Amino acid sequence: MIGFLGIFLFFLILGIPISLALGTGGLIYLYLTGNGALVMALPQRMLAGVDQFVLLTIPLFLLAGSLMNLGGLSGRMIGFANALVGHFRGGLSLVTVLASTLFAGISGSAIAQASAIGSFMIPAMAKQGIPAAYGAALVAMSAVIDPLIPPSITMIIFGVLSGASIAQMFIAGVIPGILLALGLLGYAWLKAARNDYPRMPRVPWNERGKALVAAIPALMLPVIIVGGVKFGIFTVTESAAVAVGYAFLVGAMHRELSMAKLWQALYTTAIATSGLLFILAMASIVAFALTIEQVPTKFADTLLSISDNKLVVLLMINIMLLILGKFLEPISVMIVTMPILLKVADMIDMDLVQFGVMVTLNVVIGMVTPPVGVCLFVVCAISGQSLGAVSREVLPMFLICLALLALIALVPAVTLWLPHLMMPAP
Amino acid sequence: MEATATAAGPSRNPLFHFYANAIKFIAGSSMLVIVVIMIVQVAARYLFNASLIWAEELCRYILIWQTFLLIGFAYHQGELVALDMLGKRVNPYVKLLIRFIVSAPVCVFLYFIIVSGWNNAVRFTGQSIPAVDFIWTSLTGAPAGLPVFWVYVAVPVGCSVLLIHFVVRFALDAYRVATGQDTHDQPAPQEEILPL
Amino acid sequence: APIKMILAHATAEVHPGHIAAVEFKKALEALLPGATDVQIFSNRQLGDDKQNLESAISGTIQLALASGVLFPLVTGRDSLNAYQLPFLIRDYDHMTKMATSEVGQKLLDDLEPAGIVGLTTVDIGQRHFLSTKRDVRTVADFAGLKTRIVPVPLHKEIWETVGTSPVGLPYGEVYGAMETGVLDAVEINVSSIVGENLWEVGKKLTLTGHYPWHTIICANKAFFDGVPAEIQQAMKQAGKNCIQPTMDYTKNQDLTGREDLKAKGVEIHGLEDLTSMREKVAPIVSQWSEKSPLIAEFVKVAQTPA
Ligand code: NA
Ligand code: NA
Repeated sequence: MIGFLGIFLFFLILGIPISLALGTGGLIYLYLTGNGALVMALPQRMLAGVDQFVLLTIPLFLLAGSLMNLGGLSGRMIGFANALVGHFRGGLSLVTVLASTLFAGISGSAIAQASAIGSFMIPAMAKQGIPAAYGAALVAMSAVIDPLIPPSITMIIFGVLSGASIAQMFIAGVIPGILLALGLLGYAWLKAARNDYPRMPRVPWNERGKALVAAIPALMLPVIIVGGVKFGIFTVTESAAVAVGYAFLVGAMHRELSMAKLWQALYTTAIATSGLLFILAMASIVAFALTIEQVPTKFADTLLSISDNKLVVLLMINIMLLILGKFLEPISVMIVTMPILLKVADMIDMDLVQFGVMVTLNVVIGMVTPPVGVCLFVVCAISGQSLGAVSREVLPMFLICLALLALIALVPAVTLWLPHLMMPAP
Repeated sequence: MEATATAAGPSRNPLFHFYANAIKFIAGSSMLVIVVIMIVQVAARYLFNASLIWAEELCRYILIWQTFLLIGFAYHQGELVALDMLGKRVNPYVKLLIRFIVSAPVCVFLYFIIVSGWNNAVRFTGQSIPAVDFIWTSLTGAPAGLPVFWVYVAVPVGCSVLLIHFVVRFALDAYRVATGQDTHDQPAPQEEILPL
Repeated sequence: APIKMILAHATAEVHPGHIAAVEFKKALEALLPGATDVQIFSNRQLGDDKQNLESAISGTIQLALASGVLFPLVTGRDSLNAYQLPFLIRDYDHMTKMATSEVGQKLLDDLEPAGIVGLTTVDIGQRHFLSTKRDVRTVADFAGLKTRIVPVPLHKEIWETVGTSPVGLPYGEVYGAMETGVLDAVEINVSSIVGENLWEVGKKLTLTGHYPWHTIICANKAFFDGVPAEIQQAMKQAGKNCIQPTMDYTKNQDLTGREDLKAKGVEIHGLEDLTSMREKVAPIVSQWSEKSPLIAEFVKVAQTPA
């Protein structure tokens, strides 16, 4: 695996897109390990990586989020968040975290969230005198909440690869998502108090009511998704299509969706999805090359030979994921390591839903760590700040994420209490 | 060190203009078809207690074609994330040389995938697509016998398009360096970036 | 040096499919010690059933074990459907007899034009009917139940004739769909109910035994033709030798599985009017016999009283 990573990083650093660096690295690794003849197996592995019904949720949740955004719903959510917490010290930074938490319920991807919230909030915070690098970092970190709160593309892919119940994972992520939001709110408030960031004017109660009413259609979406799946009205995959239908109806109701916007949302979603799924296809090549060499089995054996203490194994697996996450995006990390992960989960006898939420948070943290952090790229592009400056501001909040990661790994109730309450095993 | 969208500049070439519009049309309409099929599927189950037995499979195949056919255009638009650690500090000629050295294996990779992808597809001309047979049987009473070749060929077709994009981009950049134009990648036109 | 072969399949280590793979490897080593090196990749490591079969056809791997239902689908060779004509195969002993019979071998040989050599046919468990809410005791109870099937023409025909409303959901979504009520029922074998924890969501099992879940080990034809004749022969013989131990395992797992399920609170019973279910689907057997002489021959042998 080290050999493969070396080849991959060589291509990556010299400017080859992640997906192509994965595929080319996988092919070279196959040749170096004497399995060059297996190149003919690669197209089938690429197809297999993409040929999964539940992956349709990726374009559908992206489209739903896009329609919600075009329909003016992200603006309404920010308005609602502002009405609630804008008047505290550093108001807009708190609004950013709260709006991100609310937006997490309509968006399936952290990237989508970072760009939707970031394009509103980063300029707004800068105008108020909150430093742009900090504002950008806060938006990027708040985007980590998104994959924890349903819908979540990262959880869906973990479910596809591992066989864990996606519906249960969706519910299991809610409390960790809220805890992360609280942690970030606390940090933002302390930072604002120390640096004396400005407040927004207090919003009167009747205005708050109006803001709530305006935001209700958007706030209803996660309720519809989780409720619909729980009561058997539709499957997880179908829930994504229902979300699109719902987003369309809400947008049409508000008369903010034009035919041109609708059409543009359709084709841009398809093209963006192509980029995401192509990574999946390429990562499947790498997973195949590693499996043929039986790397996952050897790796798990090595891990056990170091220690069979549950805590030590957990720590090592999390460190491995965090390091991979620095260079790879979440989907590839999960595809490449899933055979190892499943062996480990089995070895330490951890509930697959709890394990899945832990892995989800871990790989998503990779989106806000340099050098390859897609969410960082998004907020850098919006704010015009350098990756280095934003990364420095990310660091303290990164520690909050690590604390939450440890909490999820060590305390089963944080993840499992809610799903067991809502979907008791018969 | 900075992140960059590796997008090409806008093109005024009429042929490219036609290609771009065709791709957008395919992208948008296939997305629409997926949404409609899946919503009808949920509705049909509740209103008529009936299930479209081909729905799941057909949607998967559309997604496969979408992924591979659109990937070249996604690359063109800068949807494929890449790092640019060399930045502007390095001499453009040196940079071009380095890019050539790392791009060559990528082209070889894509070439291998195209060849073995084609071989993989032609091997399955005898296996028909069940979803299409179910639809066709309910319409005409006989299976259509459309081979699954038409699904699997998405890989070599898509990778060919990507390879062309990849080579053309490199050639254009080489031309810019040779004629002393700005060598830094230009950002994608704003309307092309996903409005999320 | 021993000839290296990769044998890929999608099932877990306790599943009869994996047992068949292991027994095949053991039988081959017993016949020609040290001549071959069979590497088994279990548990979907190299892909699901369909992908493994396709890999064997294209020759990227040498051997695959996959559900028999997929072979007609992937190769276009229809005759392997014969095993799943409703109520044709009576029980595990009958299955063993048919799998080792001359016509059973003919069905495997029929795969060669598709580029694979069939080596063995086993059953990983007779199929029954597991439902979530409605207790299915008579044929009338099947009516309108949203039932997960593998979306192939034969199964669709059978389950529509029985009266259910078949749904073609991916296998991985069955648990969730039954849990939430998107599905009312699934046609399934006992060991899969235990293995996939489906008993948590479906508490009513009707023992219909409508068809076996036949599973086949096949080799890439170009690879097979390229190995020495004595190894070819040993591979075919190993295919035959692994049938009995696998079938013993399957039968035992089915019986102990039923006890397991009872202990977990699953109600298990037969169908009161099983004869009328048989009569209802009987025409399908003759219709499909007309489709191919090989199926007709198989049916004729199978229906001959023991
Ligand atoms: Na979310
Ligand atoms: Na990273």
